[in-house]
Order: sequence, then structure tokens, then C-alpha cells
Amino acid sequence: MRFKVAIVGSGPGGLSAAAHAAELGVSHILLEGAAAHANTIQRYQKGKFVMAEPGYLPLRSPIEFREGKREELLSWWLDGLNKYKVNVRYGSEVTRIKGKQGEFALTLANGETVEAEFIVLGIGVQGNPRRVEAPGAAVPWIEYTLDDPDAFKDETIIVIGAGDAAIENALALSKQNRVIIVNRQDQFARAKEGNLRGILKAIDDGNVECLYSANVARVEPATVAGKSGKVVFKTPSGETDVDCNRVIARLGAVPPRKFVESCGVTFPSPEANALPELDAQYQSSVPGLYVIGALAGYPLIKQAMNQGYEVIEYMLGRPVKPADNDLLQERLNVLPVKLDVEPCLKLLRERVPMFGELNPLLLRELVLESEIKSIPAGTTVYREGDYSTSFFTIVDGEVNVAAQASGISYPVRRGGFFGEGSLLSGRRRTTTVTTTQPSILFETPGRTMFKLMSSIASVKDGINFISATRALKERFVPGVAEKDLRAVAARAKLKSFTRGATIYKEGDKGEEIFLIRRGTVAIARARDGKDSVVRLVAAGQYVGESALLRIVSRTETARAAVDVDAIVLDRDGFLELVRKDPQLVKRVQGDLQQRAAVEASLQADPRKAEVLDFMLGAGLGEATNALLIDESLCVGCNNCEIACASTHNGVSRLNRAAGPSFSTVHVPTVCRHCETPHCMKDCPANAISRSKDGAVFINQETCIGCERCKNNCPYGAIKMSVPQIKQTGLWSWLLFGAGNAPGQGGYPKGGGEIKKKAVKCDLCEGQSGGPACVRSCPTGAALRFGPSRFTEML
Amino acid sequence: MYQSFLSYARARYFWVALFLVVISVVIYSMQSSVTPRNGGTWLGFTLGTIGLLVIGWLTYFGVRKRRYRASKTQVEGWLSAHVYLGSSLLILATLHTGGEIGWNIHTAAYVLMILVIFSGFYGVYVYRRYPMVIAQNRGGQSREMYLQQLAAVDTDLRRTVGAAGPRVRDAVLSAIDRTAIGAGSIDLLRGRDLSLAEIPDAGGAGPKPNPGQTRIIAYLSEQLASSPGGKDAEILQNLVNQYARRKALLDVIARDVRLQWKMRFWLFLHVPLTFALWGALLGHALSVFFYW
Ligand SMILES: Cc1cc2nc3c(=O)[nH]c(=O)nc-3n(C[C@H](O)[C@H](O)[C@H](O)COP(=O)(O)OP(=O)(O)OC[C@H]3O[C@@H](n4cnc5c(N)ncnc54)[C@H](O)[C@@H]3O)c2cc1C
Ligand code: HEM
Ligand code: SF4
Ligand code: SF4
Repeated sequence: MRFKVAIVGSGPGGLSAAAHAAELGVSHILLEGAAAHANTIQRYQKGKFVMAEPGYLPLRSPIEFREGKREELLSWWLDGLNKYKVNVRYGSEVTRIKGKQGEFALTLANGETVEAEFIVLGIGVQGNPRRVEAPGAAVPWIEYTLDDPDAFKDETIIVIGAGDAAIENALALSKQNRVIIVNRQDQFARAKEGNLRGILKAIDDGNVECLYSANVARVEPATVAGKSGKVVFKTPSGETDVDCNRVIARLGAVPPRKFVESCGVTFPSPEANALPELDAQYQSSVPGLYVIGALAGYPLIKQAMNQGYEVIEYMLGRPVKPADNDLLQERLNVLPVKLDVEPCLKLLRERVPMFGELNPLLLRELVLESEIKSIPAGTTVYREGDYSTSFFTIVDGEVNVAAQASGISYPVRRGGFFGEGSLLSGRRRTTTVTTTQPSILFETPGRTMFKLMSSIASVKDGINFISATRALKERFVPGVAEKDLRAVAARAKLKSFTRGATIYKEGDKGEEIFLIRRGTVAIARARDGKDSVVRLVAAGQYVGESALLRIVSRTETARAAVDVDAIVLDRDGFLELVRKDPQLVKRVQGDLQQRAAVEASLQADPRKAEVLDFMLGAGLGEATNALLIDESLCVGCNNCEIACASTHNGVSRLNRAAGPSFSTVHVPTVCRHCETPHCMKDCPANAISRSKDGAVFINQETCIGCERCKNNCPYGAIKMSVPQIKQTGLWSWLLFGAGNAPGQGGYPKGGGEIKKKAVKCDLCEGQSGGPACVRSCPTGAALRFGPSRFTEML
Repeated sequence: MYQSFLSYARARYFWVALFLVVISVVIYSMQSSVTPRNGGTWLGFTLGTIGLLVIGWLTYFGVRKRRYRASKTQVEGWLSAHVYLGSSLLILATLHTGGEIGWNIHTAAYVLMILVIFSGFYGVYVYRRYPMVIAQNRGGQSREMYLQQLAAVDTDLRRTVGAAGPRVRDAVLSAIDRTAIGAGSIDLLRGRDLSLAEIPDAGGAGPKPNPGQTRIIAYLSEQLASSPGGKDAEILQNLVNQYARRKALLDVIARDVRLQWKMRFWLFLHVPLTFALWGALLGHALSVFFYW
């Protein structure tokens, strides 16, 4: 039999689509790879409180959804499936899709095929766990998840994998079992600091056994009574085998992209997080094949459910307006032309070349996420020194971009954009922008721009090109017009270096000059046989100027102190700049002199260089505002921590004693407000942003508690916490002992749901006088430290 | 970059306190004709009032320190002022007494104040000196990390000693179990280590003192020296090595605990003495007003 529609994946998107099809009496089948519905939600932590963000969006689905515990949600959804008699098949992973609209054939993992006229792909982005590929490995006692480590006792358990998940499982299981962790590499390179220490210690202490450089060769029946089977490993020293009760394989997930591409769906960019090409009705480049939910770029449950409903309507040729239509209309009403959403978007596309590059879904998202501003002439949009990373597109009018430091000043007109500098560097604004005509501007948050850039290659290239042109102008030839620099900018290449990577080495041949767009570069010279840092170079500055001096081999080593993006210009390109503005030579010589002075002071004091090295090693190169403690002054009174807790409803975001120290500098565990915050990268609720003063903060209203930011922060600066109650007054505590002592945990009485949200340092936003930790230190040991202090230290 | 509370704002409060002292001395010497030059005169009364206000303000520091939302000023600034103005009391109050000392409530208040101030001096000394000593002792690691390492070494030792003879085993296990870190506050200040160990053939019953783990290490070394060699000697050698490592860790931890305590115990004098001072001051002021 051929179904009208086959829905792949029973996440919130797929469930909702299937229920709506059932409700309308459309013949359908819902195919789910896992053994139960909504596998992504099944894998949340037990009792997790699921948030129904965004609050302003109405729900449009026959299936119930509001905020509640994971278990409740899953049971509502199961009830929904039963109520509408949805035709669902579990354990049916789809491995291949062939054919075209009207006659699709879906192949399942067990070889069966299912036929359908239309397909809705709602498989999410979690991917399927990477399996153990070896003869005999398809046995039930090789598992790919671990729900409750305490459920096993006195077993022999093999954990395969070297990432955080594998390590955490191995450590948890080792309390009650014999655990053997199997690592394909000869070290644990991918794990977080804490996990790394934990596993190495457990191996050292003999609590966990470890097989390095080992691969599963085959799986055989058990040779020992009471065991499930025998796993044979290939190791550098030959084969070895273990009889065990079970195997927990944590090999990461296979991202779904390959599978999606194999269905014929195209992606506009090779980047890993690019979204598939879709039209406004979620239809992919394969007619009749629709993509919804997280895979379509909508990372929240409610959005996925709404799309499930809408996609069935579209498939049936019914013109429903998307659930966010009213919102869009409201946004667009700021524009002077009064038009419906679709014609208005069309107009925008014609006006702004960059918008023309976006697919309809992405343009809708851009409008939803942006603030549309209609402002009179002579208004300042932002000022030099402001902290903000949003991106501006000029729909109408004109602005002037100027900088005092470099003396540049140039207009940007209708259809153009500005603000890309801070977007890409994460640093303060280097220019002041003022409208010269009444203007309409789109202000788009950084995270939305990053998403667009990684989805659409042409948008990324366009922004990169203009940013390179302007960066060259700003840094080297402020007097030359932008259009005269296009040819040079086209020669320039953009290169990225990961933290620690060498950009060039002392003695290398090379004549390129690197203009740093993001991050910090450490310049080192060899001394007594080892590299010693002599200078730090920040974004907006350049390294490798030897090109100009005709010195062919490098006289210093340049390393990326943090992740670095640089605009690379060859010698000819640079000479071209000099031709346009001969004064450039003088300016570069001036810079050189200044640098030499800094280096001399560092080289005179080797201790400084060592401290600097330590600080870079601790990741302070990417900090905009870090707390550092001078151990020669700190009396360990913990006043800083108590102050933090006391000003943040009883939960300190600072762990003073933890963290590395060197000489007398101690780096406590607390947020350092990174230039390009790792935590911000994939927050599904867009709950993390940066304030004007530079604080990276988490919006407690919209955070959904998914822990992704916590996992992404390399510095352990985020913790999950239930909302706290207010602090009691100091006098009533001092005099009568009423309530909590200052800074003592104030949790709401009577448990309730675990509505944990991510919390971290917010630089005491909203309190005058700056961060409480520094204000409360009696001895002057606590200090906040930013890039400007770095230079001060040198 | 960093600045200690003594040099806070270029030692602004040092100059304020000095100014206060100079003014008081000038006022005091102006009234040369009056005798006795004590709190009974209007000048003495002024000095006394200033002193009382200053003491009130110094005591308020304990409250201010805990008002974490107060944002106008830095606690560091408060401490700086506390230290200098507190010291100035030494002169202010002495002038106020006019040199009249006796066995009465007035002198009691004076003496208590002196004690508070001197405990404060000691506090400043340890606050400036000990952090560095403590940091050097710990060599860049936290106490937590040392305790973890200690726990790991203890596990190793217990495993190694399992293969040794029963007498050695009992000795080592008893030494581990009866290791004392911390002890009482007085012992901490005197640097006494109350660790014990059951040492076989040491004469007398019960565990023997094992300060700094020296006794047990000496015992293990003796056993090693008199061992006929072979497997036994190997185990003993291992034990000596591991125990030496344990001692090294323990020394750092014990020293850390001791130094931390020395840096802090004075506050347990400073604050109660402050309360006692207030009792005496109240008595002093009341009696003055009654008998005047
Ligand atoms: C820890 C965590 C907490 C979160 N908390 C919240 C929250 O509080 N609120 C919120 O709104 N969002 C939250 N999210 C995001 C939310 O989970 C996703 O947005 C949502 O699950 C996306 O739904 P989906 O239908 O697109 O895909 P998914 O929910 O990922 O569902 C995909 C389904 O497809 C199945 N599948 C995959 N491949 C195949 C195949 N080849 N064949 C058959 N079936 C297949 C999978 O087994 C799975 O059941 C959270 C995410 C995480 C990871
Ligand atoms: C009569 C005089 C003084 C009174 C009444 C007084 C009172 C106090 C009080 C109430 C505290 C708060 C303790 C706490 O809450 O933890 C304190 C702390 C302190 N005082 Fe004094 N004090 C006096 C003089 C001095 C002097 C003269 C000095 C030093 C020269 C001094 C140095 C200190 C220091 C270093 C602290 C600790 C600060 C901290 O750890 O936060 N005090 N004092
Ligand atoms: S939470 Fe972590 S990643 Fe985010 S800004 Fe702070 S230190 Fe950086
Ligand atoms: S408040 Fe200052 S002295 Fe006290 S623990 Fe914190 S840094 Fe150290």
C-alpha cells in the first residue's frame, strides 16, 4: 500500500504532523527509529522541566504542549498519538529515500520498504549514535545510552569511547562494577579538564582499567559463565579479549546531514551547521519532500510542533499563514509602506542585495529576530567604545561611519550594511555611526547573523569581503576610498587558527602580513632554547610586517593565543596599499618603534613573561573581563564569594579556591566574559547575550535549562540552579538571627519541580559600583582584568 | 596593578588620621593652664566624644563588611580607614585620659581599647605577611588538590601494606588512621602535631606520638635495614617511598592549616574584646555623667 504521507521521526515536529494528518483522515505512517516516541526528549535528564518558549508564539497543534516535566510531556504526547489513532511504527529507522513526489520509497534499517506520495522529515539534529562496526556487534547487550549507572552492580562493563560522555559513564559505573574503558587513541584528547583528571586518576588508582589504541575486532559468545559475551580487541600488541556483561558505546552521533543529502536535498554551504535549502512552505529542493523542526533550523519544541501542523496543510495545498505571521506583520508595520507580509518581504529582497540571497524561511527569521528602527537624521546609532555585536542593514537612508582613532569617515547607503567589525571580532565598536538622512535600519543580533553566515555561503563571502575592505582601510590607508580598495581586498585571504596554532615560526620564509580580525596573537622569541612571549597583539592590529622591511625570514614566532581569524595579505597586495598611500610606510615604522619598547620591558623581566605565558595558558587571552586574585594579598576570607551569593539570591557564581595559580596570580572559576563567548554559540532559546557594558548574561526568563551553554563553556563558569528566594535583611539576621546569613543558599521551600536554569556571573548588572566581589574584598586582592590591563601589565 | 589596603588611595586615610592626631595634640597643649588635663575639661570632653564616635564607627565596620549591596564604597577603603583611624585612637584616647590611671572602670575601658587596637596591629601584620607565605607553601595548588593527592597516596599505601607482614601492616594502618591534621586551636598556634601510631616493640602500651610522621618512617626504615632482602625488602622499600611522599603532602597541608589559623584567630580576640570594650565604655560614660 502507498501512504499519502510518510513522516520520518516522531519528535515534536513529526508527532504533530502525524496527529494532524490523522485528524484530517489523511493516510499516513509515522516512522520512528527508536523504540519509543520523541527520542530526543526521552534522552533528557529524568524529571527535567521542559520550557515552552517562545512565550509569544501561539501553539498550533492537535497535540498538547505546555511547560511541564519531561515525563508529563511524554505522556501527553503518547495520549495524543492514541487519541488520533496515529499509525506509528517504532524501531523503524529510515536509511534511504528514493523516488520522487507521488512515488517515494523509504528503505528501513531491516530492509523493508514503505511507499508514500509525500515525505515529511522531522529527524532533528541529534543524529543517531555511531555504532560499533564489527562482526557480531548487533547484540542487545551492546548499548548506546546509559540512563542510570546505579542500576548495575558487580558486572563487568566495557565502555567504548574517549569523550566526556564515555568518561562520565565509566566513572559513574566504576563505583559498583569492574569497568574497562576502551580508547581508540593513545590519550584522552577530547575530554574536558575535569573529566580528564578524573579518568586518569581512576586509571592510575586501578578503579577503571583502560585499553589504549584499541579497536573492536569482533564480538563472540561468552567463554565464561554468567557473562553476556566476549569482545575481541585489536591493539598494537596483538589481540586481547574480555568477557563482559554489557558494553556501553559512546562514540558520538552521526550528524544527519549525510543521510539528508543522500535523499537529494541540497545544502547551500558546505559548513557543518548549514541548514538545508527550503522554501517558505518547508519544501526542500526535492519536490514533495518537506523538512521541519530542528533540522530546518528551528531549535525549539513549540516551533517544531507548529511546523508539523503547517506542513500537512501546505502539502494538501491549503494556504495557512505560518503561526508567526502576525508577529511578522507587527514588525513590518514600522516600515512606511503598509503592505502584507509576503509583498513586503519581496520588496525588502529587491532593496537589499544581502536579503535577496536569503531563502524565504531565513528572511522571515531575520525579520523576526531583528529590530526595525526608523530614525531621523543626525542620530547616533552606536559610539566608538560601545559593547555590542549586532549587525545593521540600511533599508532606507544613509549613515556616516567615522573613527577618531584612525581618522576615517565614510558613508554607507541604502542596501548596504555596517557593524560587521564588532560582529566578527567580539570587541568594542571601533567606529561611531550617525545617520545623515532619515533612515530605516534593521538591527540583527550577532547570533542570527552567524546562523545566516554559516547557512548561506554568499552572505558569508559578501560580509567577509566588505569587512576585509573596511579593515584594511581602517588600519592601513584611512584616506583611500573604499571602492579603490576592492582589488586589494580581493587578493586578501581569510585564515583561521585554533588556539595554540602557529601562524608563523621564527626562521620561516614568508612575506605575508596578518591583520587580526578576531582573537589575540602571542609573539614569542627563542631564549635559552625555549620560546618566551614578548608581546601580545590584539584584534584590529597586525603581525608579520617584515614584508615591508624586505626581511625574508621571520624574526619571531606568532601563535594564536586564542582562536584567531586573520586577513592575510601578500607582499604585492601590501605594496599596492603603499602605492595608494605612501605615508603608510612611516606609520608602520612608528608602530614598530612602539612595539620594540614594549618588548624591551618584557625581555628585561623574565618573570613577567612567565606570568603572561601562564595567563594565556589559562585562556585569559580571550577574556574581556576576568576576575584575578593576587595571592600575596588574599587572606582567604571568602568575602568575594559571599558577596556574589548575597547579591545573586544566595547562589554564588564564583568559586574562589578553584582554578589554576602561578606565582601569585590566581584565576578563580568564574565567567571571564569571553570576546566570542563559547556559551552563546548554540543556545536554542537565544537566552545568552551581551550587554552594552560587555557583560555576557543569561536571561532567566527565556533560558530553557538545556545545559548546552554549561557544556560549551571551557572554563566551567556556568552552573545549573533552581530559582532562589530573596535574601533576608542584614539587621534582622545580625540582631535576631532571623533568616539566612548573607550569601547562604536560599532555596524555595517545598521542592517543587526541578526547574533548573543556567546561571553565571553577570558583572553585577544593574547594581551601581561594579562587581560585588571586587567591592567586598577587604584587602584589595580581587581585581577585574580586561585586555587593556594586559597591556598595562606589560 | 594591585594595591594593598595599607596603600589604598595613596594611603589617604593615613593622612586623615595623622591630621586628627596633630589637631588633638595641638588642642591638648593649648590648655596648658588647666589641671588635671583629663576628660573633665571641655577639651577633654570633646576628645572623648570624638573617640567614642570613632570607636562606634570602627565597630560599624563589622556591619558594613556584610552589606554586600552597598555599592558606593569599597570594603578595601573601609578597612584602610579602619586601620589608620583605629590606630589614631591610641593617641586620642591617651590624651583624653590625661594620664590618670587607676583601678577603675575608666582605666578598664582604656585597657580594653588598647587590647583591641593591638590585636588589630597583629591582624594587619598577619594580613600583609601570611598570604604570601601561604601561597608559597601551596605552590600554586589548592588545599583541596593536596587532600585529593593525600587520599590517593593513602589508597596506594593501604594496598601496598596488604602484602607486608602483620606487624608492619598494623603499624602503618594505625599511623594512617591516627594522623591528626588541625587539632585544637591552641595546639595549632603552638604547632603541635598530635598524630599517633602503634609502633611494635617500642615498649609501654598503647600508641606512640608520631609528630610529623617521623616515628613511623623511622620504624619502616629500621625494618628495611634489618630485613634479609628479597620480596620483603622490596615491599618495605616501596612503603618507605610512599610514606615519604605522604609525609611531604601532610607537611604542606598541616602547615597550610596552621598558617590559615594564625592568620585568622586574632579576629576571635578582636571582636569579643570590642564587645567587652563597649560594656566598659558604657559604664565609663554613665559613671562620668552621674558623678560629674
Ligand atoms: C537537553 C535538552 C533540553 C532541551 N530543552 C528544551 C526545552 O525545555 N524547551 C524547548 O522548547 N526545547 C528544548 N530543547 C530543544 C528540543 O529538544 C528540540 O528543539 C526538539 O526536540 C526538536 O524537535 P524535532 O521534532 O525537530 O526533532 P527531535 O525531537 O530531535 O526528534 C527527532 C526524532 O527522529 C528520530 N529519528 C532520527 N533519525 C531517524 C531516522 N533516520 N529514521 C527514523 N527516525 C529517526 C529520532 O529518534 C527522534 O525521535 C532541548 C534540547 C536538549 C538537547
Ligand atoms: C577600638 C578600636 C577598634 C574596634 C572597635 C575595632 C572593631 C572591629 C570590628 C567590629 C571588626 C569586624 C570584624 C568582623 O566582622 O569580622 C574589625 C575588623 C578588623 N580590624 Fe578592627 N577595630 C579597632 C581597631 C583596629 C585597629 C587599630 C586595627 C589595625 C591597626 C584594626 C584592624 C582590623 C582588621 C585588619 C580587621 C579585619 C578585616 C577583615 O578581615 O575583614 N582594628 N575591627
Ligand atoms: S560562560 Fe564561559 S564561555 Fe561564556 S563568556 Fe563566560 S567564560 Fe566565556
Ligand atoms: S575577598 Fe579578597 S581576600 Fe577575601 S577571599 Fe576574596 S580575594 Fe581573597
